[in-house]
Amino acid sequence: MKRIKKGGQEYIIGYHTQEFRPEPLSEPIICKGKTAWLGIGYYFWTDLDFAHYWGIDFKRANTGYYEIYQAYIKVDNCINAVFDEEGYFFFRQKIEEAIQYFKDHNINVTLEKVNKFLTDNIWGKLGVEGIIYDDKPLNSARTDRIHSEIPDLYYKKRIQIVVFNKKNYINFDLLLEEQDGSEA
Amino acid sequence: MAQKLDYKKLSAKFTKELKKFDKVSLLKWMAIDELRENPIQSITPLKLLAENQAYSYSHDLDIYLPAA
Repeated sequence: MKRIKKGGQEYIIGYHTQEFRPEPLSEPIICKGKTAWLGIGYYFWTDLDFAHYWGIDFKRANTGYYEIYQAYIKVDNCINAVFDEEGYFFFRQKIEEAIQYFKDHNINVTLEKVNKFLTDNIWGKLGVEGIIYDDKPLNSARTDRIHSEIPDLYYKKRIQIVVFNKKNYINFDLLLEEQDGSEA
Repeated sequence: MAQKLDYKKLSAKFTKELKKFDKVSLLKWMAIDELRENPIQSITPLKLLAENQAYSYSHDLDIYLPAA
């Protein structure tokens, strides 16, 4: 994971994958709906490998090519559930509290639903502007990709950053254009 | 290192905010979320929203939302 300092502010470099288009994006595309599993927002990978995998698996259906953009992500007000002990336990506890809240109201929910609820109704009131999270690097779309030489120990974290607001990133720009996946 | 959130303070605030969010608010949010997922199919919650309160169209989210 790369960090950079600019004007006294520290940023994490994030990668945003989208389908190839003749005119490159000037802003990342907001993720909403069912795939917004950490809530509606702008999603970035911290590792180029996973940015490529995302492009190969999901972002080249129409043109055969994907592109990877780069941005500097301001994470000061993000819950860091990956590298911060307090952040991890806070996030875990609050997800559990939210699940219990839904159960108390006799409503069946998924984790994705809970996260969307929190993004829409709670995080903003707390000043939380994003989440750094990781999960197993498995992907149901592909079974032939080797994520670990010694499964089921997935020692390489699949980290994503979601930020809920455009003010949490700067310098969004095209990094790798017209990728066919052969480099990944 | 970047500065980080005060998780202890946030924890109490989180619980307070969750308590304040009653069942009516929850159901209203669920209707809005359903509209976001299925804007065309979700005519019923849209009608309900329209009947019960003013709403407006959010171009950013591409859904109808209760008026602020």
